[in-house]
Amino acid sequence: MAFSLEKSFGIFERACKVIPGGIIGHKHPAFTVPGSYPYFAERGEGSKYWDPDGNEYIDWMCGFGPMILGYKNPVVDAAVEKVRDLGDGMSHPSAISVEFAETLVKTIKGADWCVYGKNGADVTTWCTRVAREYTGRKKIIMATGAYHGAQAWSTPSHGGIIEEDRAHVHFCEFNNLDSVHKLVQQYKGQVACIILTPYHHILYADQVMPGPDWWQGIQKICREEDIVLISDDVRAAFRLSHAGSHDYFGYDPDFACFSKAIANTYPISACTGKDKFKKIAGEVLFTGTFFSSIQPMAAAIATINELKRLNAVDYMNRIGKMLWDGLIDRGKAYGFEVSMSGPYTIPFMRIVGDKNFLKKQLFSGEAARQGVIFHPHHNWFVSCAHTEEDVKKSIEVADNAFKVVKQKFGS
Amino acid sequence: MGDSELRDLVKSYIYLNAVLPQLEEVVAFDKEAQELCKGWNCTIQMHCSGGPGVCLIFKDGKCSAKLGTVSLPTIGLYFSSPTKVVNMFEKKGKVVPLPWWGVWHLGILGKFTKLTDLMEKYLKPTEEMLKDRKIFEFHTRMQLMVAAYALKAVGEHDPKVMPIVKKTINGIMEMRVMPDGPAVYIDKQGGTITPTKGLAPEYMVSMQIKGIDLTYDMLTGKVDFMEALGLCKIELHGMIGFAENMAVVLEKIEKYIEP
Repeated sequence: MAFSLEKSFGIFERACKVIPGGIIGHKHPAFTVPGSYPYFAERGEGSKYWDPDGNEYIDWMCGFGPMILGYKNPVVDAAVEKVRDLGDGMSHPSAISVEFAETLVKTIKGADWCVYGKNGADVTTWCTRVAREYTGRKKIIMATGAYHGAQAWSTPSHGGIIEEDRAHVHFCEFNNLDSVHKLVQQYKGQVACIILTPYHHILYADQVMPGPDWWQGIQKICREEDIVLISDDVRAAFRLSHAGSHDYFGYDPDFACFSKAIANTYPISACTGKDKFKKIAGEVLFTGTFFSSIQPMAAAIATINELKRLNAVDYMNRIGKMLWDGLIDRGKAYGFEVSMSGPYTIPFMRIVGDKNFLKKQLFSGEAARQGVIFHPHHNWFVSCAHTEEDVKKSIEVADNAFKVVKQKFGS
Repeated sequence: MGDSELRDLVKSYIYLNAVLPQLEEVVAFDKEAQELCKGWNCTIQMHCSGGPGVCLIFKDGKCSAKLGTVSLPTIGLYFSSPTKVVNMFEKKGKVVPLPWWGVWHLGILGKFTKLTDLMEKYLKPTEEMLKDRKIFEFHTRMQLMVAAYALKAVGEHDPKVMPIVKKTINGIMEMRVMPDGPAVYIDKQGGTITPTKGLAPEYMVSMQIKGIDLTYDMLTGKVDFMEALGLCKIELHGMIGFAENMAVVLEKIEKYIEP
């Protein structure tokens, strides 16, 4: 079937009349390759989804992370189906919420309790408030370029933000302990928390894995200065270790934040914490009308159990490495040095020397036209639904896309 | 500096360093303007205390603008404060700059006022004027140039956007009307922005606008930028984050110059 976005454009035009910009947020086509990249998704199954024009895509974005077992995963969906008859949104939480918390506490290394919300930003933001309440301090340290959600204190955007929103947020450089030391000394006795992602996943740039001393150093600073350590594992969790990415990298956070892959596309986030914060956590209001929805919790329990059963991380690593190696190889065939960074399960691809991303944008646009979603600027995600066949097809498409890039730009 | 003084300072940069330099466009386009400055070989400088300066160099029937001041222009016009610049451009009261040098060139001064009147005509054309395709296209070109030059004025002097400019990756952003319309680019290095007319030799990001009519609609706020991007009426090629940050500055410009 020839690639066309005719219907998608029609929907987008309708959308523009009733939704600012047509599509809000990071899924807006402007952030990809408009005209060559899908605008809307109509249905998904396994590792693929289809847009309203009937174009089929192998999805290496996994919905920006939440899809980890496959769209419409039968095990997860059966668990949701099972609780659907119970009704949802009642005036009290269900016992399923307790089962979910028990599952998470049992699964996540070092977790003593958990709370649940809807999006990653719900829990990252709440953690900073608990840290402030616990320490009686104001300052938050985060890494430059890190993303902890689109709340006023953390959004990388500028609209609607006043200086006071970020007056107590300070930036260190990921992997540079001196930069952390400097801030901690500068604001001695004032830093409530350090919030970091397990590794540094930034836009438009190679992903930065933690250096050998980074996490031990951060932990030492936090312990010595009574600073709360928050691990923002929203993006990476369950793709490095079932027990949290801190288990993979060997650190012991006071709080760990989860969302995205936790319930295989169903909307839920969670935060686990250490016992010593439990009492005060109960005193820092955390609530939302839909926080206690049953279906996402049932999905989360099923997802976590299924990931363990499948030994998912090993599988995703194997698939991710095949993709990783294949892209480097195909790039090389056309004279491109392809840089792959981050974990195999959450890779980021860059064409070396392509400073303005023109080559990568053309590559991604061509790949999308041929049925493979390789985001031009964001890291990708590998899932348990991706097969060796998907990798093979994706590498073939990458070969074609590199060819087009070479035709336009040379090597 | 108070909010009002700061606002006037930034606006004075917009007027002297983004709007007035477009006199070179008027002289290149309009026969009456060319006639007015025929035979001139002089530099007219306007500057204000604690604020911007601009030199308009007239030679061989052409005008070129240079931001900043020179030691001895042919005619030097001086404003005692940024607020005076703003008041003159916005016609608030009777403000005229003080001629501190070259006052004896009365003939040039008189014609220079007529030149600036012509520029105003093209910057704020009537609906009737815009029916003339040539004027419409010229007006849109001027607006595009003003926008690029105002990126410098606001990006370098508004304290709220200065940090955004500084943390933006260094490089060039091109704004180009497709297929063969006017183009202008800004080169951002650290906290400094340098506008240049024409196509960029290379760029970090290129904003390609499909046609002069769409450019007019975009510059006059008739088009939603994100919608236009989605509909491929405006294309961004390259580092989109760079353009996102510059869009913040562009939005700020609108807030300064809105009536």
